[in-house]
Amino acid sequence: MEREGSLVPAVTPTCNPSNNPLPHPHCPLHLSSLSTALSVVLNPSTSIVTVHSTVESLLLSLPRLSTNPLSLSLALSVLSQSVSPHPSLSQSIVSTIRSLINGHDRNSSAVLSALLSIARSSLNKDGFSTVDSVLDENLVLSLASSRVYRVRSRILNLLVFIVGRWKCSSNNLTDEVMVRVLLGFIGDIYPVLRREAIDGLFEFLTVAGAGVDFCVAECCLDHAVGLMRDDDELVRSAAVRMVGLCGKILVEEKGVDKSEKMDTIFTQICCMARDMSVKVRIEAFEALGKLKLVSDSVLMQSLSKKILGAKNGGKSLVKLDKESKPSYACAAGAYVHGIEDEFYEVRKVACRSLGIHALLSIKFADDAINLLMDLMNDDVEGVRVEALDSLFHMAAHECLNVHEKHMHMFLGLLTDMSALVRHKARKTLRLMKLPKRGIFKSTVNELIANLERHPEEEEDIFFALFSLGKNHQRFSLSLAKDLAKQIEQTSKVDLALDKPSMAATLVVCIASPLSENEITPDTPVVLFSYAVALLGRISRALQGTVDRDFLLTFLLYHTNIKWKSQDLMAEVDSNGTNEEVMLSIIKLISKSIGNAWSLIKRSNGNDAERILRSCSKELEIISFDTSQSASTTVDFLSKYIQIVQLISEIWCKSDLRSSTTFQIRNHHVLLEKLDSSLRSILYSFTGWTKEVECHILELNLLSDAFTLSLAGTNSCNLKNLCAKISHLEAISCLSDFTKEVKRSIDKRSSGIVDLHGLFELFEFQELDVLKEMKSIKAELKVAGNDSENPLAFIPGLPIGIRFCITLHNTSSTDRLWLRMSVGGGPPQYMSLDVCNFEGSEKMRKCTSVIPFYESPNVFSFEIRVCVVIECSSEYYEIFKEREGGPKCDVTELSIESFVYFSSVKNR
Amino acid sequence: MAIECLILGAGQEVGKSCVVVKIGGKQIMFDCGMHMGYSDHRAFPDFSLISPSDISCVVITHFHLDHIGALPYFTEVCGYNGPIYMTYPTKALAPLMLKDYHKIMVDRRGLEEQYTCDDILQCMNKVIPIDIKQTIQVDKDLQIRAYYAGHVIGAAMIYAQAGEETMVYTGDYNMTPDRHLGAAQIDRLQLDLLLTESTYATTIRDSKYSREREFLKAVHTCIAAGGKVLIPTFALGRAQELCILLDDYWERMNITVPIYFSAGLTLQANMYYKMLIGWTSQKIKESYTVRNPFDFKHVCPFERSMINAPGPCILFATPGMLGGGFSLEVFKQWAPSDKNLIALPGYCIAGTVGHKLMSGKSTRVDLDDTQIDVKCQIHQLAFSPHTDSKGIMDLVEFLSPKHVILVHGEKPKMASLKQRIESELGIPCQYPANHETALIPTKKDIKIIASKTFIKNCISEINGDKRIAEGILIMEKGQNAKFVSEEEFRETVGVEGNAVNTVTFTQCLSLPNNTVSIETKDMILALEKELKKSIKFRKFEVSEDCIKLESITIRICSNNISCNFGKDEDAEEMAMHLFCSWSIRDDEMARICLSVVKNMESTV
Repeated sequence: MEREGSLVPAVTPTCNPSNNPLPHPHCPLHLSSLSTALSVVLNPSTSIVTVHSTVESLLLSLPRLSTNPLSLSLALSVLSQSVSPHPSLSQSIVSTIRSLINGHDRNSSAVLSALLSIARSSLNKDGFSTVDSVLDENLVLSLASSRVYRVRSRILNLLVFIVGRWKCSSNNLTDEVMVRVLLGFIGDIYPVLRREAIDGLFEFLTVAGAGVDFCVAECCLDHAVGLMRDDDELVRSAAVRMVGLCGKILVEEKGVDKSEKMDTIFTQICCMARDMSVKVRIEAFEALGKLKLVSDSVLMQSLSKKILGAKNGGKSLVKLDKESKPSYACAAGAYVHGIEDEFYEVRKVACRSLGIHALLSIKFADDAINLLMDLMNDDVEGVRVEALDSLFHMAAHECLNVHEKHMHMFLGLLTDMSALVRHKARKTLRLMKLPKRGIFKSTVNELIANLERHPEEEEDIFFALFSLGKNHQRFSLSLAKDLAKQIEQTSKVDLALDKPSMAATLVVCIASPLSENEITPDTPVVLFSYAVALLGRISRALQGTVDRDFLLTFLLYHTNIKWKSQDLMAEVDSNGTNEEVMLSIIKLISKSIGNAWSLIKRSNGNDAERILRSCSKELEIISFDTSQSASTTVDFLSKYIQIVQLISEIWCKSDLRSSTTFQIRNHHVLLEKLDSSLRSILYSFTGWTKEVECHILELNLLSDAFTLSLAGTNSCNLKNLCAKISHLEAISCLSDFTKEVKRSIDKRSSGIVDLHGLFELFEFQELDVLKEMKSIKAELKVAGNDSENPLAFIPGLPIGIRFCITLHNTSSTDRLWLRMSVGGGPPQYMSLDVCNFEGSEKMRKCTSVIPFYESPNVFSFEIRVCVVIECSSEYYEIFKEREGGPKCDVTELSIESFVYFSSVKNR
Repeated sequence: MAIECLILGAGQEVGKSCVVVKIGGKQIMFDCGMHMGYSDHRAFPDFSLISPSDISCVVITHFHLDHIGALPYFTEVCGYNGPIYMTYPTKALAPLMLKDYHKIMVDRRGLEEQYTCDDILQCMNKVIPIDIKQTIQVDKDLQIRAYYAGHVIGAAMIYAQAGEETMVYTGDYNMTPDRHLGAAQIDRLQLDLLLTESTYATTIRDSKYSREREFLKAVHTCIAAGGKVLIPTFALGRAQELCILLDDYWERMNITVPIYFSAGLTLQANMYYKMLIGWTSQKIKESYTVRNPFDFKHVCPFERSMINAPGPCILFATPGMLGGGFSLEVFKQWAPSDKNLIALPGYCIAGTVGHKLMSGKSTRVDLDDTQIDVKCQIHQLAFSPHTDSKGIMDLVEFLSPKHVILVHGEKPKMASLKQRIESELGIPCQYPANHETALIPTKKDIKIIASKTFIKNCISEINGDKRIAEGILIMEKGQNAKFVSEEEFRETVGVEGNAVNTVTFTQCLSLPNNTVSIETKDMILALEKELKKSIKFRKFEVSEDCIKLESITIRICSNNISCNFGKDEDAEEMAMHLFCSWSIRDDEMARICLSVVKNMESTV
């Protein structure tokens, strides 16, 4: 037989022909051979056959060992350990050792420990179920009534282990037998066994869950109640736990009036709340928390050390037998003792269970709050936290009824050493209903003190203040009035908005109107304008509760500064598809551009600028994530926004409002910019809808009107204007604005235009989603060129550059040029013939070598290259005296890119 | 067998606790205190009632003078030489208390000294310190064990066991924890006797939190108005408790008003407290790892010159109860101002100024030579280290002893508590006065021999899953009691067949004197009539002086010769007797007859 990787050389010498480390079954068995057997069995490299034969000989030698308890127990231990690595052996081992049980008691205990360790060690349930299957009723009963402690203890261990996995066992033992045996152990003289038995029953009931037989629970309850007077504290604590569980189970029983039973159980556990052992007390309060359906009178009694009501007086207190029910007086003051217990573990649990019951009974809650509030003075943080948690849950269930006397203690928590406690206190405050204005005020003051001492908790404090204001509309209104009066009396210089107290009070004041979204006539509106200054801080604190934009809009609305939300994303329904979301965003943007327009008209340039800037930022963001069709719109809109921004700048920054004379100092730069932007938008897109085209043309007219005012009448200008107006006439009926422009041109062919009137007439048109629109654009690439890999050139000689050009949506009539320029020098234009390109109108491609003629006499240089389109239409016919270049103004279709060159000499 | 309790002090009163208990043939003295209200012979327990040499040991529960004050007298003057046990903190702090008291009484008041300072030292040298839950084998038969009692540092409840008899002497204890001490803690013991204090036998206290709140509020209002607060207190215990409370509060509320400790004693005591952390509550033990809670931040020593210094302050002054000394001196100065506050923590013994103040709104206090107008506010502090009545009931219920004796309380209150213990817990209870001896009967275990056959029978029955065995108990004078099986019994008695049926049970009942005049015949008839009411459908054989029913015979005999077997020894000579006999098979019926006859006795 082969041994793979013999890791256990010690084994080899003792091996007999079959590699079995054990001597013949009839030879005496030595400890050394047992240890050898163990190492053989446990060595993962041992072959299966060896293991089997080893185990087999061990099993054969077992009967001989029954007279030698030490060897027997060692042999059994070897066997039980062999099950874990070799689960297949469990069957034979278990059935063999099972047969040994009937012998001597000591053997039984050894066998039982072996069985237990087999059951425990098997990872799969094979071993466990094998063990389970050999235990039959008679065997268990006889072992359980053994006189030997070890046997009883082992069988109990085994049973408890089985109970824990009752669901997956073959149930060789019936529930009844199991329960009977375990109940039998409850009377054992050894506390360890009593405790284990109770734990077993506990496990049994837990595993059985909802399907438990109520009679069994009832029976367990009786026995556990009996054990609550046990001398051993561990037995008592297990018994209390058991009683609690039984109570929990029996509540589910249907068709029986359970309230009396629950009262009895509650009282019984209450008696244990005065136990001398900490463990028992902890279990007792734990169990109290599990009970439901307890009557109010008993619950109330547990809060008072004095006996409530005369009818229970004088009854016997002690008898805890099943026959006589304990008087409710036993429950007296259980919770009072619980919360003033020496051990914080007990106080904590008592607090928790107090909180649970408070949720179930309003009457109880009213009194329980006294005790919980007392705990605010506790010296252990954990207890204070637990008490606060209970208060919070009570507040959340609207059964927290605070009184004035509590508040002093409670508010003290806001200056607590522990941040957690402070946080929990504020959390509770958020939900609290304060009975009096004075309390409300002192609460606000305490929160302000909290803010002053711990500015890092501002967000949380603001939130608490906000909720406080929201919940106490009347109080906060009067506070608001006080504040308004105070602001009125203080000079503006002294008024420090960043003072914590001011900020905090403002938060309280705005809370109620904001959450109701309406203001009463006597709300001091002036506060809102102060609150605007704290927008960032407030909105951060109210994250998740109040939307920042809503807050802003609300505040502005009521302070008469009116404008719309900037954060466009907020209004968008984010549930649609990507495309839909995009479109709705775009719609919103175009809407807010409209808002900007109206602001510009009112000469509120700054605000308009802010809106436009945020719009373009928004566009920038979504441009990363847009489909082809939407990206056209995005491009269009961003260009459009540029135009509006320029108009805003020109209009609002000039002193047009004061004079009709357009006295611009450096506005010609802006006008030039505007002009070129307009040109660019007009020539970079095709597929206009009529309205949009009209609008753009009107913008052109506006721009021209500006120019006219600046530069005075110029025939060329006028001609352009007329051309545009006639074009407008051709496509649709004229707007008031256009008519006015036309009229002023007609009326006085030279002179000053009434810009004011014109501008008033100008109307913004909602830019519809521009579905049909296509953007004309180009892409330009020079293969293999960047600043690291420049092209070679010989200074002075022309350079051929291989361009790869892609054109989108160009028509064959468009006149396209490639503009190349070095530094600030005059550009060189090269005409691009669309016919040389391959592809359709939608996309054309071409790779060609285009020469650049004027290479400078330098070592290296770069040229800027760009595809441009000639703006050749009736109203842009400005013929330039230029050689070989475009005849009209141009506008860029591609991004300006660079081509790098390096002199050949350089190499 | 019985436990004998001789109450030498604190019987139906508070003060000079001293109980001598004879248990299992051993005499133990629990506590050896003095009465603070007296300065004559009544101050000490009357040791003439006992002989010191008979006492096996003295156990002191804690260092209060009413529990230890007479100890030096007992050991050095009366000459007790046996072992004295007390816990380590008690041993450490007791000399302080004793010397302080000695100083006040002898040096200052010039009273006659009962023992000298050297006596105190020599007495303390004999003390054997014990630890909580340490079992001490006093001698072969007697062992004692201390349990944590709360109350003051080092206070203990003492469990004593001699032979089969067990008892617990609680000393003073507290069932609710306070800021620096834990609650009393004891195991569930099988007890014959529980000797418990009952200072607050009828009071049920509400939660300590509200008491603390009230106290702090009163103090805070007073100092906020610029008043001075005097807290007369024992140097040990309450002083530390209140100081922890105030120190915490000062810290939290950022108050800077000074807190003074009057005497060096208290400062010295604080030093001991710092060392005895192991005897304090869970809270103190845990915070000790960070800072010693007895290192008070706001406390400073007091100079006599500060009494009339302006501005608010808090002063802890000894002794408590305003019984004299420095606290009384300060009281004289401060009491006339209505701004000031006197906070009286805990109990005040009758006869002290403190008691007068607590008992009502007295505006005038007469001291030895002067009269003082009391205008200041009085705040009664329910800060008592004694358990309340609920605590006593809880402890009694938890231990469930066979008997309870109440000491250390006021008589009417003790009576009401006794009532409650007996009715609610069903435990017999007494509250003997001083110098009375209470006898507590205890069960005596009797050795019973079981014969081999009987055991054999038992085993065979146990195997049949029965835990009940039947047999016959034979008790003979001068011999051990014996369990035998039925067969053995037959052999012993020497009868064959159903042995049990041949045994005849007899009982003799004596009728009251006034029945002598009744004729025997009438008596028989009356008896028959009564019996027939209870036992129907049976034939009674009636003769002149007896009634027969099956094996039951009821015979009337007017002389007592015929029935001296089983007769009550106290029975009147001339009384009429009823002699009943029956065999076991009619046992049930016979018992009915007996009860009928007994009823007749009372109705005749």
